[in-house]
Amino acid sequence: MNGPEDDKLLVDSAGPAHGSKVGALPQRASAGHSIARMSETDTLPPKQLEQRRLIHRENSVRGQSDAFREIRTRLLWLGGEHNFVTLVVPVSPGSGGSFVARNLATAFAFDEAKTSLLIDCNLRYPAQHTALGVDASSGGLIDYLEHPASGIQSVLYRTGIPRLRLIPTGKARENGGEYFSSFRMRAVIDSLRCRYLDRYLFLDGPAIKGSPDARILSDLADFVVVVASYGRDTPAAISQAAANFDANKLAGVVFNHAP
Amino acid sequence: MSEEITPFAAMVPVLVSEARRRRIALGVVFAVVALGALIVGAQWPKKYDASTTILAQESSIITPLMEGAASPTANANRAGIAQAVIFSRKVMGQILVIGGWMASNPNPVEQDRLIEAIKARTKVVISHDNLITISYYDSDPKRAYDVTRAYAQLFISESLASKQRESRDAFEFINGQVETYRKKLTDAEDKLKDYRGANADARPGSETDTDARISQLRTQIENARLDLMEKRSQESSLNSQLSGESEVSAVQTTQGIDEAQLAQLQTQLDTLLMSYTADYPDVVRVRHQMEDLRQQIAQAGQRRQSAPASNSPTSLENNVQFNPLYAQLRSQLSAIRADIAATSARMSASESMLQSELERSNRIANSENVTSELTRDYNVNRDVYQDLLKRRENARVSMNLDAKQQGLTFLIQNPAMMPLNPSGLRFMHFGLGGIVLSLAIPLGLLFGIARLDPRVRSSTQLERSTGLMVLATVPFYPTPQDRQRERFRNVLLALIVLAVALAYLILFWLKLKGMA
Repeated sequence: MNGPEDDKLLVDSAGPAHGSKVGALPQRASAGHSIARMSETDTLPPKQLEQRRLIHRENSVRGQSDAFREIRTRLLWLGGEHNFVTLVVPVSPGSGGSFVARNLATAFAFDEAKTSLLIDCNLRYPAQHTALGVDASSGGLIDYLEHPASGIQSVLYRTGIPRLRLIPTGKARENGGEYFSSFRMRAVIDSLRCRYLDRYLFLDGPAIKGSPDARILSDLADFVVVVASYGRDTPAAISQAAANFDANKLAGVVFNHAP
Repeated sequence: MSEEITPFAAMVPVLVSEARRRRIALGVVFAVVALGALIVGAQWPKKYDASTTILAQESSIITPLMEGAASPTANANRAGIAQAVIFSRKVMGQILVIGGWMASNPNPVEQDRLIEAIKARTKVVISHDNLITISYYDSDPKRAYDVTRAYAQLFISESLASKQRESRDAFEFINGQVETYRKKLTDAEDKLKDYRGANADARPGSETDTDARISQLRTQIENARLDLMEKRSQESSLNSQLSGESEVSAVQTTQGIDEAQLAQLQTQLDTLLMSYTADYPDVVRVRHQMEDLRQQIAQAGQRRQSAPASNSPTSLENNVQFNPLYAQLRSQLSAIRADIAATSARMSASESMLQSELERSNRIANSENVTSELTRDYNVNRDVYQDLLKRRENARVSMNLDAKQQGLTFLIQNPAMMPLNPSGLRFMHFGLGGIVLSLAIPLGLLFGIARLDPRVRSSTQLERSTGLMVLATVPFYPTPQDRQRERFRNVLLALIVLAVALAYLILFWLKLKGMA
C-alpha cells in the first residue's frame, strides 16, 4: 500500500490549506513532496487495463487515450501552473461519467511528473472500486468523514496504475449532500490537493439528473466536466445540466460513446 | 434531433454507427420480416382464375324469320338478372355438388358459409348490356375450371328453362282463354239458334224480305186501284154508249136497199149525164130504174103505215135484226165488269196481305232487338275467339321455339379454360417482397431513429445545439469481453443472414422443383 511518508501530514496541513486558493498555493509549493518518492510496485499489464476499460500507452487504445490526453491538455491549460480539482459528472446515469473520470485521472497519471487522485463521490451507485478492482475493505470517503481519527491513509488505495490513487465511497449513503457540503469534506479536499503540488484530484460525481449532489460537489471543484453520452441525452437535457454550474468552472462537455 | 432538418450527408455516419450498435436488433427484424414473408408466401393460397363469357344475343337468325309468328322471350333482361340467377340457391346448391364441397356432408350452416365464400370469389360483370362475364377463383385449378364451367351451363340452362316456362305458361294461358271463348261462342250460337227457332221471324234478312214484300204489295194495290178506276170509267162509258144504242137495229131492208140503189143510180145518172144527153138510152134506163125504185119505196111506205105499229124491231119478222154494236158493247161491258170484280178481289187480297205483312214487320222489329243483342254477343265472341286462335298458334310456335332451343340466344363466347398458372400474389412475389421489406423495414427504422430521436448523436450536433464546448469525443472503449461479444454478435448476425438466405434458397429451390 502507500508508503509511510505519504500523506502523513494531511491533518496538519488541512488548517492553512482551506483559506484562499491564491494564498495557499505558494505555501503548498513549499510543503509539497516530490512524486518520485512514491513507489510503484504492482503495475497492471495492458490486458488487464483493457479489461477494466482503462487507457494505457499501447497502440490498441490510441483513440481513447488521445481523447483523454486532449481533455487533460485542455484542463491543464485552464488550470495554469497549479494543480486543481476536477468534478466529472454525467448528464444522466449510464452516460459513462465514472469511465471518463477514471480515465481522465489515468491520463493525468501518464505524466510521470503528476499524480492523480480519484475520489468516488457517487454515494448511491459507487462504481470505481469495482471498476478498478480495488478491495475497499478498509473503508472509504464516508468512513473517513465519519471517523476522521482512522486517518486518510487507510482510505487511499492503490489502483495498479502508476501515480493513480483511489478513494472509494465506502459505506453507501442515500443522502450525500450533507457530507459534501460539510466543512470537513472541504477540508479533506483542500488538504489532499495541497499535500502534493503535482497531485490532481478528480471527483466522480453522481448524475446531474435526479440528484443535487453534483451541484454541491461543484462548489468543491475548480473545474466541472460534464459527460454526455451518445444517443442518451438530448441537447435540452445537456444544456439544463450545464446550467447547474458556474460558467467559469464549466470546462466543457465530453461526448462519450457509451456502450 | 433538433428542430432544424439534418442534411442526409450528416446523417450517414449516425446511421452507420446506429446500425453497428443495433445490428442484432436490425438483424432480428430483418430475419423476422424475411422469414415472415416467406412463411406467408408459402402458406398463401394459390389463386387460380377461370372465367367464361356468355353472349346473350338480342336477336338470332330465327328472329326475323319468325317475325310476327313468334315473339322471343327477351334476353337483355336475363343479362340484367344474371347475378341473381347465378347466385340463386338452386344454382349454388349444384355448384356445391360440382365443386365437391358436398363430399364432406356439411350441415346447412356450413353450406351457407361455403356458399357465401364461393359468392365472394365469384364475380359477374355485365358489359355492353349483353355480355356476361363470370369469373371465379379457387386454390384448386381443376375446381376453378369446373365451377366456372358449371356456372355458365347452369346459367344458360336456368335461363332457357325459365324461358321455356315462360313461353309454355303463355301458351297455356292463351289456350285456356281459347277454350273459354269457344264455349262462350257456342253458348251465344245456341242462344241465337234457340231464339230463332222460337221466333220464326227472327231470321236474318226477314225484315228486308218483309219490307220488299210490303212495297211490292203496295205497288200491286196501287196498280189494282188504278186498274179498277180505269175499268170503272170504261164501264160507265160503255154504259152510256149502250144506253144510246137500241137493242135491235131497225133496218128497213127494202127501203134501205132501195134508197141505197137509188143513191147509186143517181150517182150513175150524174156520171152519165156528164157524158151523155138525157136522151141517151142509158140515161133513160137509169131514169126508169130510179122511177121504179121510187115507186117501190112509196109502196113500202104505204105498207108500213097500214101495218100495226109494233114497238120492237123483232116484230119485224125477217126484216128485224139485232144491233151488232149494241151486242158488242154489251159484251165489252160485261167483260169489263168481270175484270172489275177480279181486280177488286185482287186488291182486297193484296190489302189483307199487306196488313199481315205489316203485322209481321212489327213482330220482326220487336224481335230485332233481341236478335241484335244476341248477334252482338256472338260477333264479339267470334272475333275474340278467332284472334285468340291465331295467337295461340303464335304462342305454340314460340313455345316450340323455346322447347327446341331454336331461339337459343345464349352463346358461350369464351368457354372456361383450365387455369394453368396461378394468378395474383405468388410465392415469387412474396419472396421478393420479403427481401425488399426485410431490408427496407430495418433501414426505415434506423432512419426513423436517426431522424426522430432528439438525443445527441454527434459532437458537432451537441456543440451546435447547446453552445457548450466539447472537450473531446471519447470513442467507445471495448474490453476484451466486449470485443468477444462483438465478435459473437457479428457471427450471430452473419448466421441470421445466412439462415435467412438459406431459407430463401431452399424454398425457392423447392418451388422450382414444384415440390412445395
